[in-house]
Amino acid sequence: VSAAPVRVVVTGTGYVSGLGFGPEDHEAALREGRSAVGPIRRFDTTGFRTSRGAQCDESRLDALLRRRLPAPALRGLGVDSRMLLWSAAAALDDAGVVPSTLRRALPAVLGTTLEGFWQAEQWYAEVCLRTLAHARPRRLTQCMAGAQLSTLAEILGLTLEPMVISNACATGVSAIGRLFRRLRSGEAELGLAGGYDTLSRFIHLGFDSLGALTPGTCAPFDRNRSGFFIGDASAVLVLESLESARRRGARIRGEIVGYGESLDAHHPTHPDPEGRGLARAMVQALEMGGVAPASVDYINAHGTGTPANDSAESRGILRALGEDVGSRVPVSSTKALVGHTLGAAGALEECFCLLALERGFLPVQATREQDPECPLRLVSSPEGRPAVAVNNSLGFGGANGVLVTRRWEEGA
Amino acid sequence: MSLTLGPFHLLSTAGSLRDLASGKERTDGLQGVDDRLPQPNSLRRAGEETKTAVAAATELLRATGTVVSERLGVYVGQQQIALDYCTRFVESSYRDGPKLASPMLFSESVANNVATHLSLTLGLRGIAQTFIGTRAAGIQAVKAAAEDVAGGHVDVGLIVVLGVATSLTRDAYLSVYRPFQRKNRPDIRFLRGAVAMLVRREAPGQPRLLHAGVCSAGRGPAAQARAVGSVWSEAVGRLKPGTRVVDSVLDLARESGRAVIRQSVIAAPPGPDFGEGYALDPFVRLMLDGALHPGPSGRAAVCLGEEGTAAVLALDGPAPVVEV
Repeated sequence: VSAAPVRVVVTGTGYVSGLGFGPEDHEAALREGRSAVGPIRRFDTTGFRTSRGAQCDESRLDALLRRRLPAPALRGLGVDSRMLLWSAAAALDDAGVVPSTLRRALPAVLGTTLEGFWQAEQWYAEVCLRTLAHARPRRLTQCMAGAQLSTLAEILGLTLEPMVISNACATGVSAIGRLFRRLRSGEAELGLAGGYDTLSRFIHLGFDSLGALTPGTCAPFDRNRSGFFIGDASAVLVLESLESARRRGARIRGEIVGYGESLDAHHPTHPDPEGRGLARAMVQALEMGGVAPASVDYINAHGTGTPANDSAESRGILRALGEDVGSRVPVSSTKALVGHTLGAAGALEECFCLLALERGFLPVQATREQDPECPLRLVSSPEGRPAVAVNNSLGFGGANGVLVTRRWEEGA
Repeated sequence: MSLTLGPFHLLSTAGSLRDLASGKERTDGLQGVDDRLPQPNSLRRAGEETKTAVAAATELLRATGTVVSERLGVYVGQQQIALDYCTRFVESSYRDGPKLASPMLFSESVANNVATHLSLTLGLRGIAQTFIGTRAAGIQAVKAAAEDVAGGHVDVGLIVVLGVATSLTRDAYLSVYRPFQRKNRPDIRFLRGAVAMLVRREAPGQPRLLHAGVCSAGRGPAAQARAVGSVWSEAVGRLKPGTRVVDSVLDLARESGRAVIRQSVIAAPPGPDFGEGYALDPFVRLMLDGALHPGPSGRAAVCLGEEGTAAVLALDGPAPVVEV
């Protein structure tokens, strides 16, 4: 184990959401503030309070997968497994990592809040609505996250050192943070981190029952905000020591410099209204990265668009950066565009931060009337060239996770 | 850096470790778990598994005099998400209609529910992470705690591993492993409960944690054998001579699971049959082996999940067990 911290860079990303596949599909939407929300087609929403979400394009997903994998390998895989498979394969391709050349098991720290529960749910609906004898057991073989990772390993020809984290809506950031720390300490050189989750009847109805889903538009930090919609997503990143990336001649997408995590110890489902836990995680991450508050150029907020989250997060940001700096840093929540993607959210938003740093823009989020309780500088135009981005995630149980990422500049 | 893992504290349907080692057949071991909680009112809506986990953790902390601070990290391992509440929520939505689906049931169904209640009960403000999705989830939790203690992110890692099963679990496993018995639904014996343990730097009297490793190469028998071989070869150089090895596989597929493990590992004969414990199983087998074969030799559990994840947890001796 190295004595001095190892520099950790991102050399590959692969992501899918309701907006599409990879950076090319997402960049324009992020610049325009275009939302992927639409009517839910995956399950019957009759009798629900809300019926909109952001599903991925499954037929295009299958077409993309079939270009690289034989059809029998994909048979019986749920949408969660297929999204994970595509995003992991795309991340490895992007990083130029060829599985057959790896000499040891590849660390894979992935996050999910639901595993393949959509499969289990369909099986269970068959049991509830008909009988056990009519339920198709095949649905159950992809339920556990371990099974999804084993499938990933088998199809891509990988030997994995798997770890599956479920830290509510902070899951994606927690997964990246854990691998980041591991690489930083020199215990590994290269690994996969990310998250995935699927819009399912259970999760949609669950948040619907809590009154957290909007019947209208997801408008984080808006005076009239009324919640979010759920989206499908999977996002996988290849994290690597700088030394390993240079040795391989890999293209570097950005450098993760800090990670912080904390608990509110306040309430099972509500954040601390003063944002104290979030502020501690932000300060931890900035200090680890040696980043002064005034050097932060962009914050990708958790920003669920619920009254409780956005005011608490605003207070947390101001507490961490100071009122003066905190109210001047550009902030947006990309959940307004892709929905709340749960276990994938933090990882997908990290990919958006990397894209913004690499291509020089700020992700836009439309706001009609900003809430004075959220005195932040919301991004209304993509103009900007951020060098340091902060990615916030907050979850049930008062879990907070924060990543700090720097734009990569050769010679830095 | 040298780390220790222990002591262990088990609360289960089959009773304490002493009950299990004596061969007593119990199923009522979790009765009265509410009386063992430090703040039973705040957990009144929580499920049995959450209450058991909180009781096991708080009793262990009290018995070891562990100081609760920001430097205490919580690491929870469970094979499945909180199925009991998921099931009740989905069932109620079909029975009563979607508009009457209960938000209370939903909030208790979140996978990190145990970590949440532990952090609220203990007032923790540092790290709490939950590992899921495989029989090896508890070993993943140990590995994560060890990384964080070694990296100086926490001083003490409190690990809680759960064995969770519901009628849904029984039906699901029967559907997959005994499809011809689905109509008759035979009873499956489950070991439900929680084990709590501590990872620390050099705690006196506790065994050293020699290895916690996990590997996955695919779902078929050949890929599973590769995963076991890989994780075992990584562990074997760190084991003490004469280490006793126990295996942990799905009860319903016991013979095939053991056959895969035995391609790479010579394990001790199976110990007492206590039913299916999922993520809890490798820990109970390690503890039981220590109780039934006391001695200074090392001890390792080799675990193979039905989904293909292989794992090894190795100690340099039997871990002391806390009985409350």
